[in-house]
This record gives sequence, C-alpha cells and structure tokens, in this order.
Amino acid sequence: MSHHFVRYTNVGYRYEDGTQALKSVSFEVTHGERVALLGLNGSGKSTLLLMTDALLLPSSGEVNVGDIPVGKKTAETIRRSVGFVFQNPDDMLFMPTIYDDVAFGPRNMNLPEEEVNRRVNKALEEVGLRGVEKKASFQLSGGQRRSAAIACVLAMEPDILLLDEPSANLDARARRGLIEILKRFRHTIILATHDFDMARELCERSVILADGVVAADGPTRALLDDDEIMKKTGLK
Amino acid sequence: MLIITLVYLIAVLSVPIYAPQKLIWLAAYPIIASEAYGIGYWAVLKKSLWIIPFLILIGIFNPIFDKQTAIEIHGLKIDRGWISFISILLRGLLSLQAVVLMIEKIGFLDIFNLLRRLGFPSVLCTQLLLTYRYLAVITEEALIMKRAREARGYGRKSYPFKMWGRFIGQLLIRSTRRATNIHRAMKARGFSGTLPLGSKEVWTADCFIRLGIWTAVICALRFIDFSKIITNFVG
Repeated sequence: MSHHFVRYTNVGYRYEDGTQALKSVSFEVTHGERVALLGLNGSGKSTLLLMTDALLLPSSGEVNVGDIPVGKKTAETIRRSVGFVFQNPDDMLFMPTIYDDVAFGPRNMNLPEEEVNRRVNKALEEVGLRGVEKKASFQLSGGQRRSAAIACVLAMEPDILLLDEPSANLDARARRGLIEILKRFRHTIILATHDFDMARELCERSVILADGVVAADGPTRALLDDDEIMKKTGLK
Repeated sequence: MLIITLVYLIAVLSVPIYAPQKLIWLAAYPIIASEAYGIGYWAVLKKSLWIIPFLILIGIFNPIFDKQTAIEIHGLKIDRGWISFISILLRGLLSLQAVVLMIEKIGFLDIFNLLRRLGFPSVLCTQLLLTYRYLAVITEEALIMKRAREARGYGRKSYPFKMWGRFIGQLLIRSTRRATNIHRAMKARGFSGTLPLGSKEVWTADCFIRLGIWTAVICALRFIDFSKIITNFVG
C-alpha cells in the first residue's frame, strides 16, 4: 500500500453558508510529484488542500490518499502520512516554545521521547533553525516562523507535503530559503500558491482551478506561458 | 517549583483569617524568589495586580456584615470585617504572585505536564492549556483591531457604547475564525483531544536541595515570629 499518491475524483465542496467552493474536481498526483495549485482567490485551492488532510470532508466525490479514501474514520491514518503547512504560520505555532511546537506532532504519534528529540533536532536543522528551540514563536521573524511551521510538519516525516500560500508575506531572502527547503523534500508536494515564479521553479506540473473545476492541467512552464489559458482563468 | 509553590500556597492559606499580620512576612517569598530566579519582583507584581478588583468584590461584604470590634488602637476601633477583608486581599495577591512566579520560571506547558503527572484529569489540564492559548489569540486579535481603529481614528480617544458592542462582536468572530484555524492545525498534527506529555523531568540532587531550602524558608516565614525577634533585638 502506497500513501504517496493522491487522487481526486469528481470532488465537490459546499460551505455551510452555501458557497460552492468546488463543483467537480478530478486529477491525480503521483508519487514524488511536485504540483502547484493555481487559481484566483476563492477558486477552492485551500479547500482542496484541507480535504486532502481530512480537515474537511468532500460534499460529493472522493479523495483518496494512496488506497485510503478520505473520511472521518480514516482521518487519523491519513494525517500520519500527509503534512499540512497552513497559510498563517501563527496558526501552527501555539505551544510555549518552538521545540514544543515541533515536538507536538511526533508526541501525538506516541513516539518515544528520544525519537521525538531526534526528529525535532533534525527538522530544525533542515530548516536552519537550530538554536531557537527555547524561544517563543513571537520572538522569531516572519521568515523564521514560516520555517518553524515547516519544521513542525517535517518532524512528522510525512509522505505528502501540502502547503497553502507558503511564500505569502515573506521577503526575498526568506522566500529563497523556503524554496531551498522545499527542493530538499524528496516526497510528494502539493502547493497552493499565487507565486508563479515559485511554482515555475519548484513544480514541474500545475493544476489551475477556476469556477470549481480544473481549468487546466499540465507542465507549469507551458501553462504559465500560455496567454490564452492564463487570461481565460483570470490569472493574467 | 510546583511543589515549592504548593507549599507556599498551603502556608498562606493556613494563616488564620483574623491574623493578616502573619502574612506580611510571607510576602518576602515572592520578592526573594523572583530576584533569585532573575525575573524581577516588579514584573511579578505587575502581572498580579489585575486580581485586586476581584478580591475586593469577594471581600467587600465582610466590613459591612462583620461589625464586631477586633482591636482598638489609640481609641480607633477596627472591626473584624475590615481585618478579614485585608486578609483576603493579601492572601489572594500573595497566592497569585506565587503562581505568576512559577509560570514565569518554568512555563505553562511544564506546569501542565506536572499536573498531568500528578494525576490531574487530562481533560481539565487540556482545557486549562487551551484556555491559556486562546486568551492569547483573543488578545492578539484585539490588538490588531485596536491598531486598525487607531490608524483611522485621527486622535479620537473615546467611542460610543454602541460601537463597543460591534467591536466585541467582531472580536469574537475573528477570534473564532483564528481558533478554528489553530484547531485545524492541531488536528493536522494528530491532536485528538488530549495534549501529549512532554519529556519527564529528572530529579537531581540539586532539585532536592532547592526544594529543601525553599521549604525551610517558607516554613520559617510562616512559623517564626520575626516581629518579636526584631523587637527583642532592638529592645
């Protein structure tokens, strides 16, 4: 059983206030792929990511992570293999120290404390944040907070990494650092972003969402250079 | 630190309600300890003062109902109600200072872990920690809204009562949205209602020595009549 691919089959989602975020979305992300989700605000990118981590359940259709269909009963299993980096890192940093924040996931996985410690140190090392373990999140810069949020997820050693607008509010240096971190991640990445340059550099494939459906799916460079598609989907 | 604080709280609460003078010496603990731990007493005191209005609310009826004279100093009669009122103020303030000192020293998460290890129900501990966390969320949102209002307030200081209602309503909506996001982020990392325990604190000889010294200091402040000693020494 492989958890490394994600399949969306006719996925629809309607919020409680009646907003139809997604109508019918179908595509598949295979093992090791890096896919950018592009689209205007409100096109359903974040909703789709939330569903991939079983934080929202589809109103219609099906999301499969590996062989496992996303549902209430499978949520915990899915979250062990899917890591989600939220748009606002402050939502992910809620413990008194960065160490405790990064250790939160591994501890929830009931790992022995030595293993938790190993994973926390490794994750902080990977994102270049060694030495800030005892600091509180508010003592870090915006870029460091984003890196800490990524470390929180890396410490869980996920097979699939979901990122919602990871470059939002980052300066050029922090953004570059983030791209380098993500380049080192060897598993599947699904990235919702408005940052076309980041998509171009990181993801070989892009999926453009518009009006609740997949408007285009193909190589990132080809899609971004296609004026007709970009105009049609409102991205240009 | 938790045990030292518990010893101090027992010492403070064991002082008879009509003998607040015995609390004065116990007030030395937060001063000595905060300076010894490098936190600074003023920081602890400032974070404790908010409790005074609540303490006044609790004790204010004592002077009204308990009119029996307790002592008379140069013809000035002082009722038992006033003495118990002062006692309530001092007990509350000293107790909170000890708790603030503990939080400042070891952090809220460690207190939570210690309480869990001492057998406190995990549901209560989790509630406590999340309340602490979400208070920070509400404060953050309130500060953002305050700044936004000030930026467009052009020096205006006061607002009508009706506007405060809207402000609080907006604050609750924004805080709920943030809280939902935080809860999602927690669930995404395996949270299922119980916060995981951190690493177990190892008791070293140093811990026992510290516990012994502080317990001795607190017991001395509680049971030794320093006023008598000073009077005898001066006399």
